[in-house]
Amino acid sequence: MDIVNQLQRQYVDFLSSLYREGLLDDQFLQIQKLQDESNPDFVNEVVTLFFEDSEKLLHNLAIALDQQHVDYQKVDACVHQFKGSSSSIGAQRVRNICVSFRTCYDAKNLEGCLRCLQQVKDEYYLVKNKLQTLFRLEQQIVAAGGAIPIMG
Amino acid sequence: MASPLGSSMTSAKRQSALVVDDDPVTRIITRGLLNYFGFEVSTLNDGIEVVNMYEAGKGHFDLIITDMEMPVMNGIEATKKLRSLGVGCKIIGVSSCDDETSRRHFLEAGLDHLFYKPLNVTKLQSCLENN
Repeated sequence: MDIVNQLQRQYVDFLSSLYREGLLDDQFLQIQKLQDESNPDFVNEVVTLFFEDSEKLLHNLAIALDQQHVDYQKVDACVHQFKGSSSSIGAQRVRNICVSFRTCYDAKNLEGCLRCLQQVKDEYYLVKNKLQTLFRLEQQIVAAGGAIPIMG
Repeated sequence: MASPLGSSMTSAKRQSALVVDDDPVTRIITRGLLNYFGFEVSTLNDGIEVVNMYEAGKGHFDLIITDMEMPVMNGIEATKKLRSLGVGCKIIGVSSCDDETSRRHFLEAGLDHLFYKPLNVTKLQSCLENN
């Protein structure tokens, strides 16, 4: 098997594992559909923006929950935005924790909010790490002269 | 892709769309979706900005897609205000609130369609084709 075939197979297996583990859902495939010759870096741009935005939101959430008098409206605004952006890129497990987070801040349950913050951070950094691996594989395929396999 | 909003579109002039959303990730994805359907796309961050634009006589879009939950002016208020200004173009709302009461309020504000997040090619295609 030549190197391109091997990398393409590796890419398909890796991406399939992300769906199987629930880290990504079909929305990610929908975003991949939008990438074409007129918009060749679309997925990378979207995901990079998601990383930048998520890290700001996680930082703001940590600060909001560290105050003596927690402003739960601020927490709501951050989690709401995180839920929207994670759902928009298909980061399913991040989105699901945002849903649980809401139950905690609606009840003004600080302990629950701190637990959800840790969970959402863990899930976010996990999906970030996997997506970075996926993009490295894409770069290797292109560098070897191959095309990125289309899934779905 | 031809004439997403009906027969008035010609190949010489692309239809224009406006995306209103405070979330930058959702905004860029919605822009990509509309580019996919052949629209020329502008973006704004909040409902108040689109209302100000139309009040100043600078809004001339064929389609508006607005988030329903925004910090300064939400999608309900913005849609009501736009309709009261006589804006007749198609307005599509996108929301993460999936209960029936919210849905009714959103549609009563004057939206043509409401989708739950996330918006994607499949959902938007059905809406544009059923026009």
